[in-house]
Amino acid sequence: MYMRERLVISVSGKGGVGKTTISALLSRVLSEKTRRSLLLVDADPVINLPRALGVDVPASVGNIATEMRKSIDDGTLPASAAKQDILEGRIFESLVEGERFDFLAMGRTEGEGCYCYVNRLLTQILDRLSLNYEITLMDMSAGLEHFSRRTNRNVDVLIIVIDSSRAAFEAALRIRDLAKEVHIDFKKILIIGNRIPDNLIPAVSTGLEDNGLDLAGIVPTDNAIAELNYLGKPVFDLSASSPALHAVEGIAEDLGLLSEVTLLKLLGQA
Amino acid sequence: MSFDDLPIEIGVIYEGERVRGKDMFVELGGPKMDKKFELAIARDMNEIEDEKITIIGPDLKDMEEGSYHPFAIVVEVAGKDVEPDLEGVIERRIHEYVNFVEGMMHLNQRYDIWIRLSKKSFEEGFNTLEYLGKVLVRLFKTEMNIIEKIQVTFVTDEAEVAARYDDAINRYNERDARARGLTDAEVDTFYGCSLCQSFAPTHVCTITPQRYANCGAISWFDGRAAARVDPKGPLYAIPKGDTIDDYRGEYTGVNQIYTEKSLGKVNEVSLYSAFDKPHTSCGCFEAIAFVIPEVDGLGVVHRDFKGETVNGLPFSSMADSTAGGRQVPGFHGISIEYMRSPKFLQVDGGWNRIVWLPDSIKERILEFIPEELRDKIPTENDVMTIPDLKAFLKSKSHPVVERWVEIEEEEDMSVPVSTDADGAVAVPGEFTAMVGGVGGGLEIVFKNARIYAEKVIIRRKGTGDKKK
Repeated sequence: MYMRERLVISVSGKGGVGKTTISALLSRVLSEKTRRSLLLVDADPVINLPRALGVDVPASVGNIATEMRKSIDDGTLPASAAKQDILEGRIFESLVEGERFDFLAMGRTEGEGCYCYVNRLLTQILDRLSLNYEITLMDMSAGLEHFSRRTNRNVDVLIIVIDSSRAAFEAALRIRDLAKEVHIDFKKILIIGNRIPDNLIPAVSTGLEDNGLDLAGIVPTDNAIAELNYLGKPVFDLSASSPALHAVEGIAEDLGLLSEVTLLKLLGQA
Repeated sequence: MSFDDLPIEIGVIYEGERVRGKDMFVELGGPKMDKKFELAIARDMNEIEDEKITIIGPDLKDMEEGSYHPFAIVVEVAGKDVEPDLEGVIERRIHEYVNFVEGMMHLNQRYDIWIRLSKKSFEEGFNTLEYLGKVLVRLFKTEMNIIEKIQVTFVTDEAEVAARYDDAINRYNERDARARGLTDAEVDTFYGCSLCQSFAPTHVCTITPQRYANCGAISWFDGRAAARVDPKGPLYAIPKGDTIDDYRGEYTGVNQIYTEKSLGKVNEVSLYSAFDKPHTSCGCFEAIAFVIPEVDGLGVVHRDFKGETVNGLPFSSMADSTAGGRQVPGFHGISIEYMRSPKFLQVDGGWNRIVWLPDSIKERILEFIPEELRDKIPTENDVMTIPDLKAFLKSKSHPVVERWVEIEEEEDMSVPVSTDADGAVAVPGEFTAMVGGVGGGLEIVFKNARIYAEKVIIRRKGTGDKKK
């Protein structure tokens, strides 16, 4: 159904804390435990999520934008066709359409020249595309630029992933503050702790509470995930008994993502 | 207008709807099909059977679920005011109207069209293209009053699509050729862009058919498309207003927008000059046209050019003097596409005034440089110093050389030769050439400067008066 309720979730955090793993696990849970249409966006220019999900990406949005910029320079576009229309089709073409979810890789633009216009077109096109899905999940890059720029504008749930390091904790606070500063209207901000040793959990939890942040759950160290990463295999190969998968499912459940009633509540529509 | 006789809804709310691969009943055109197109053709009144809908090849109900088909849509229209020039605009509406259909997606244009129908809409009874024809006929007639008669043809037969394909391509090419020939005088609306406003608050990018946006990314057609979709967005229509000077590109509408958007900082603009009331420059311009006073000409350098130019300065240094939304005579942000325009800096002499440009630009736009000038404009491969540039231009009889003669003659009469003697400053003839070249209106601002001189001459232009 077009444009019923929709939820946009973004996953942020310092580099190396496990954003992509958490995003991939959450993707698996959402695609298996709900019947909702799902768009997954890899907004990290490094593009790691496809491997974790087992999808092939023919072209990233960045590749397309770069190509567009190049054909603008070479003057090879049809003179009277509008670029917004050309770009929209090309992006739809780069969308990987699957049974369980659709997938889009943002990638990055290359080369010099002005991207103001092309970026603005991208924003509009992506906003419009995500209207077609009940849930959009974005795996963000470690940097903070996207907060002041584009992809994060319509986010409902901001998930910040941390490990037990001080740097990850401070990054979480910065992300929270920046998000407020640029007036992103989140319905919920929450923290997921990844691979935090048992002896540090109480301290980390208190530290977050003192700063007004909510620890939604802990994803434990899971050797099976390390093995998958080593082999470069997707999370769908993970056994259903994986403790990490189980933890993410619990978090999704608590968050209300898995039940019709609570999801509507999350969207403020119940 | 009613669509009650159709099994599904039609409305603007379905415009952004995408039919996902797993929900689709059929795909018409699209990347999997070699040949597909949509075409609007202006016809004479007697050539059209009004509201006739023709389907050539299998209809939707004859298609298998999940299948892909070649596709063509031909919309033929007639009316007293319907001209071939409007075909592009009419054709673009096909995209919009098909998207109004619940469960139907239309992407791209021309020979790239990509249409999907959802399983759901098919199951609800949208099983013939006849319905799509009705949607187009009714919407075109109500939304575009100039259309008095319309007939629509859908082709799904592969051989028939192929048979009609070349004609369609020819028509697009002709239309593009017309679009390239579209002049600023022929339109009554330009477009403004404030995407760069954070870099340059007083900058207004004026986009006309013959003057591309400074960033090189936005054509007049892009402006028109964007302003239609989102009129309050950063790309907006500028009513041209009265033409003050066609040759210089001065229009009341443009001046008014400048006054408004720059809060009175910039009030008058000549669109086709780098010197006199020039168009402002943002921070995103693709290239700079920069004055080379010693030869009274303009050099051009683009953003990708690494290293120094003929005057010893790289792009980045000159960009600092150019950017920021000011009117800086002689430092002018431009797009490379603008260099393909017949209006290109025409007030300043156009190509006759260009004396240096990087090889890579020259290659890209060679066919747009007047033939007799092509070997007279040097690149970094020919000259890299001002004396060499001078010698080059002279040896090739570049048109700017004629300007030197005029100035030198004037020079000999008015400036005492004695100033030459100390040798510490530039040759006075050359300095005057700069002032002469800018044609008045040169503003020189000194900040925290100390200037020592034995003698200062300020001469009123044209009168020969000298003041000490």
